[in-house]
Amino acid sequence: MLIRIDEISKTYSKGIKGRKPAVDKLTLEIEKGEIFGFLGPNGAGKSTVIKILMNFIRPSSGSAFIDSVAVDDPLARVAVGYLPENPFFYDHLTAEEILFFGASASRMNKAQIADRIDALLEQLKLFHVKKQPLRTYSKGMVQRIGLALSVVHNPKICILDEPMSGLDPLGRRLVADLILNMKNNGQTVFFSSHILSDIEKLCDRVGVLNRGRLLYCGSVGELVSESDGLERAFIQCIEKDERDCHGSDLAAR
Amino acid sequence: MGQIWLLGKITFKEGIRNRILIGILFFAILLTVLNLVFAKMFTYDLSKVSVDLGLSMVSIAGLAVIFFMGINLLTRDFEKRTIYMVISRPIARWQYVLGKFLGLMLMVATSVATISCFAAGCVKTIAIYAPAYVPPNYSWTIFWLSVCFAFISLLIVTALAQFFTCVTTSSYLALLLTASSYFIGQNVEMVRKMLAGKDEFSSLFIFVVRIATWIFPNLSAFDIKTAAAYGLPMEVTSMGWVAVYGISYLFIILILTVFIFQRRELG
Repeated sequence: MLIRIDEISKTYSKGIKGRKPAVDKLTLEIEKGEIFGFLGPNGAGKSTVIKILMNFIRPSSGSAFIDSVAVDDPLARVAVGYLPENPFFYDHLTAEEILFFGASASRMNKAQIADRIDALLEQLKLFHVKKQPLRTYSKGMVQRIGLALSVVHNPKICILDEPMSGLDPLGRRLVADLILNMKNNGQTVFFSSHILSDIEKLCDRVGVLNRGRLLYCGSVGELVSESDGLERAFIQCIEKDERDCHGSDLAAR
Repeated sequence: MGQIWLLGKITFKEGIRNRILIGILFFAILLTVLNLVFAKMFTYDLSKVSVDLGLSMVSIAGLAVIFFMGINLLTRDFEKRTIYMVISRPIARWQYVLGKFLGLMLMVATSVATISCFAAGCVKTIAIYAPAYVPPNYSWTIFWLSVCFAFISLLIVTALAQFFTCVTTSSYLALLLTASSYFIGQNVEMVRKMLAGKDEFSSLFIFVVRIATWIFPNLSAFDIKTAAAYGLPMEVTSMGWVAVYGISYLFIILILTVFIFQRRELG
């Protein structure tokens, strides 16, 4: 088990006395070598779960472990590569410098770093701009540098928050190839996305989240078997939950 | 230590490439010209003009680096979420605080070293050109000691800026709070001395000033420009205690920053 999430809840204050749950008793396990897709409408709690895994925020209750290390221990992140939803970097550093920082900080063997950076930049079609400051990069190039930074140290687990966001079809293809390469290398990928076709193409298993609760966790095939495609299955899943559990909210709208 | 150094290095590189180096060099050249012009206007009064102006410029340039560059670099980490790039690595939060501080310290050190070398150059030029105006006890040791004390004082302001950035995350508020602390720190000792032994002030006012002297750093203690200018004798023990006070205050602020940052959510 590479990622284990045990009954995690996260609530935020709403008004003086109110509490709004962003994640509600979520339990999830992700195996080694898996590509796991995290689906859900906007505000479902996907990014909150990812931020808890990265220890950016702390759960109100429950616990999470990466490679059997509690997420609040910095050592848990030795095994992890992370891509935020909208990556921003230090503008005046070059791609080479930022990747060197990422690899060194993740304790990669110094002798291997330069070759690894060159190979990765070549793969992501950014080798020709490796000595340019990042402020000169387009949005898609920044996204690809973010991806390179998340995988530069060959992590066991890659946690990607909307990795396809802001990419053109060519960029999406590059990212998809990179994710599949990771799977072939036995690495684990946990990613959230709104682009269902990518999820359908890449993932072994998916988790569907709505209002902080996990509605479905299983294989893509099983989810789509009763519907016509992943998009339809996803919408049906969310609508059913809204009707069954949040009917009063809908009536109030 | 490796993680702190890595983070310090990229913070320094990011800051120094942000046109700050050009700004520092421009300021240093301006200082040289002003220093020589003013020295001539004041009949080469080395003590009053050249040393005083040079050492003041060291502090002003350092403050400019902290206020216009340091605070911006620190708050950008929270506002633009560049902090994710760092914290997603096996870097503990205390290492983040110390790494950032190290980067800013290197930026301030670059500024202090550049400006003080230019200032020393001006003093030396005037000393050669008009030796009759050099005070008999003028000491280069005290000049450089004064630079070191200005550096410690700037490091305290840097630590305060980092502390306020961690507390507020707004660059405007952090700037306001740091600037206020700097002005209070510069004047609190003077106010305390003015109030000492006078009965016309309310006890509440005196109590507030006394509390302020405990909370805010006494930055005027690090200002030994007058001694440097006139070559006045310095008591080694009291200077040692001032240095110990400055470094202790710095560590306390860094510990408080770590304490707050450990509990902070970066959502």
